Amino acid sequence: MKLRLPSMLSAPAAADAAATGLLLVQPLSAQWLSASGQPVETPPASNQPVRVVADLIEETHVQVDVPALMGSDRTGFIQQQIQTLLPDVPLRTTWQTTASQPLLPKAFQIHSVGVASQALQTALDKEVARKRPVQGVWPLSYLMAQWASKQPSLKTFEWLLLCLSLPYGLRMVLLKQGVPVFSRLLLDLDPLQQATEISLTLKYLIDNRMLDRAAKPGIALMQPGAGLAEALQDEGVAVLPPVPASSDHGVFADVLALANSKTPGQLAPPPVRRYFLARQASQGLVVAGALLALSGLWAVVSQAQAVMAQREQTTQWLQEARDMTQTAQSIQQGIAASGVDTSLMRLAIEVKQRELQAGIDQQTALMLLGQLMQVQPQADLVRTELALVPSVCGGAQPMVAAEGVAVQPPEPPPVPEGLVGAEPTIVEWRFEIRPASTLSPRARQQVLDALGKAVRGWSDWQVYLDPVQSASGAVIASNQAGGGPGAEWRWCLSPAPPPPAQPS
Amino acid sequence: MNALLPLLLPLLRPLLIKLGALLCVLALVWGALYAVQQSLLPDWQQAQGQQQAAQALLSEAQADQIDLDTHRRTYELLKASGLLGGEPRAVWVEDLLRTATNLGLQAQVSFTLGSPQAVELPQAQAMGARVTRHTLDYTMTGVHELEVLQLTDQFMQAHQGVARLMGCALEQPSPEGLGARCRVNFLHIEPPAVPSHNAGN
Repeated sequence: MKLRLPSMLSAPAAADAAATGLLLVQPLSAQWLSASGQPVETPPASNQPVRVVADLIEETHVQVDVPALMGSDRTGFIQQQIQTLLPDVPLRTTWQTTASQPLLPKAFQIHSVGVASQALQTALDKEVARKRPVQGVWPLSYLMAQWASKQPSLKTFEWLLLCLSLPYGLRMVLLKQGVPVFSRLLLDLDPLQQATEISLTLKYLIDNRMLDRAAKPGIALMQPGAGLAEALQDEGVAVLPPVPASSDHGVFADVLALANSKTPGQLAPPPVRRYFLARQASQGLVVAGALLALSGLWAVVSQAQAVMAQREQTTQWLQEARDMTQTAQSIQQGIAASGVDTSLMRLAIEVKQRELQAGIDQQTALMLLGQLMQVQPQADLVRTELALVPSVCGGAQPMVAAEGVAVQPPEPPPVPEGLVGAEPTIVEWRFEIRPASTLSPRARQQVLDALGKAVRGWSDWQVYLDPVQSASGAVIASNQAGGGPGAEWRWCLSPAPPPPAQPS
Repeated sequence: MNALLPLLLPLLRPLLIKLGALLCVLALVWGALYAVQQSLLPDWQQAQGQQQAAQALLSEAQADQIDLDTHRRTYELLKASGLLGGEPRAVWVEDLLRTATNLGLQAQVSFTLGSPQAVELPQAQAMGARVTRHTLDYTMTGVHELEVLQLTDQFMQAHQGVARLMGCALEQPSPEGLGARCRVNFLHIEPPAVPSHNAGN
C-alpha cells in the first residue's frame, strides 16, 4: 500500500520522512516501523538515516519561570533551572524555541521535557555504534502536541487531554494552551481499564492542582481503540468528536510523520546525531566542492584559451607585420620610381596653400570704378588702392545695410593647421574721388549721393567707410572745392561675405 | 558551530582531503598555464610592436601615395615655376624689366627687391629645407591704367605659382598719366643639401 503523506507536511519534509527509517522506542521494545507506522521485519540499511520516536514511561515535563533577564544571564538561568529540574537526564529539550523568547527583559515561562531511559540510551548507542545517521529523537507526546496544534477543531481549547491508543497501551498528554505540560503512558490494552485510568488521571491532575477544578478539559481520542469511547461515556467523561486522519494509515501515522527536521522538540545531543550531521555536511561540501571544481575548471579552461589566443594573436600579428611591411615597401618603391620627394612635395604644397593663394583682382576693381566714374563726369578719381591686409579698413565696422541690419565684417578665410603667421589674406579696397570745384554744395551732395548709392549697389563688396554718411553731419566750408578738409570722398571696401546657405 | 567542528571534522576529513586535492590540482594546472602565458608575453609584446610599427610604416606609405596622387600635378607646376632650387632673384627682376620693355615702359618703371625673409615652417625645419619670402616693390610713373594692368598681368602670368600680387595703388592722376605702386611676394624653397632617401628630382 502506498503511503499518502499528510497534507500539513511540506514537500521537502515529507520526502525527508519517506527517505528515512523510523525507530519507535517504547517500554516493551524498540521497533522498526514503516512510514505508515506499520512494523517492518528488517531494519533499514546502516547508512540510511533514521528518525527515533521515544514513547517511554521515564518522561518528565517541567516548567521554568524565567525572570526578566537578557542575553547570557537568561540563557544561563534557563540551563541551570533545567539542569536542576532534570538532573542526570541526557535527552532533553524545550517546547519553546530560542527565537520565540521575548526580546526585551520580560518574565516568561519555558516548558521542557526530559527522557531518562536506559532502553532509549541503549538503542541509540547501538545505532551510533553502527554509524547509522540518527536524524533526531522526538518524544511522542511532543509529536502529539504538534499534531493537535495543526487541527483547527482542537486549537480553541485552553486545556486539552490527548489520548492516543497504541498497540501496547495508551499515551495521554495534557496541553495547556497548546503546550504539553504532563504526559502519561498506560501499558494496558483493556478499554475499560483505559477509561478508568483516564478518569483517575484527570482526578490526579486536579488533586495536584495541575488542572483547575473548574476547568473542563477537552478529551480528544486520537485513533481510539474499540470500546474506549463507550467506556469513557460510562465513566461520565465527555469526549470530543473524533478528528479524522489526513492519511489512510490513521492518526498514528500522521503523528509519526511529524518527526522530521522541521519539527521542534528534538531531544538528541549532537554526538548522537553526528553521523547524520556529517552526512548533511558532506552533501553540502560535495555541492560546494562541485561548484568550486566547476569554477576552477572554468578558470583552467579560460586560462588555456587565453594562452592559445595569445599564441594565435602573436602569429597573426607577425604575419600582418610581414604583409604590411611588404605592402609598404611596394608602395615606397613605386613612389621612389616616380622620382618625387614626397616630403619636399608636401612642403611645396604647404607653401602654396599658405603664401601663394590668389592675390588681388585689380582688373575687376578698376572696371567697377570706370563704370562709376563714367556716369559722374563732375567728379574725378584721385586714388585707388587694392591690398591684402591683416585688418580691413583699420578695424572699422561695416556700414549698416539698407534694411538697417548690420553686416558682420568678413572673417579671414580659415587658415590651415600649421599656417598660423602666414601673410594676410583679407582684401581691402580704398579709393578717393574728388568732385569738380565748380559744383555748388547742393550739386556736390547730389553727386555724392549718387556715387554712394552706386557703390552700395556693388553686391560683391561690403562698404566700411562711406563718405555719404560721414558727410551728412560734417562741416560745409567755402574752401571745400579746393584742397581743404572734405575735398575728397574716401571709400573703403572689402569683398562681401558669401550669402548664407538658404535652409531647404 | 564551534562545538560541532571537533565532532564532525574527523568524519569529514576524507571528503575534505579529496576536495582539497582536487582544488590543488586545478590550481596547479591554472598556475602552470599562467606561467606559460607569462613566458609567451615577451614574444606577444614584440609581435604587437612589430605589427604596430608595420602599420605605421604602411600608413605613412599610403599617405605618401595619396599625397602623390593628389598633389603631383600641382607640385610639377610649382617646380616648373621655379619654386624649388636655383637662385631666381635676378630672374624675377629681369623678367619685370623685360615685360616693361616689351610694353615700352622701361623708362617709367623702377623696382626694389627686398632681402629674403625666412618663412618658419616646422616641416621645412624638420627636413632641413629653407623657405624664403621676397618682396618686390615696383613703381610706375606717367602711365595709363591699362599699362599698369598689362604689366602686372603679364608679370604675374610669367611667375604663376611662385608669386602673389599683394597690393597695387594708382594715384596722382595727371594729363601725362598716373602713378602706380605695386607689391609682389615671391616664395622660394631651398631644398636640403643632402637629398632624402627617395629624392630623385
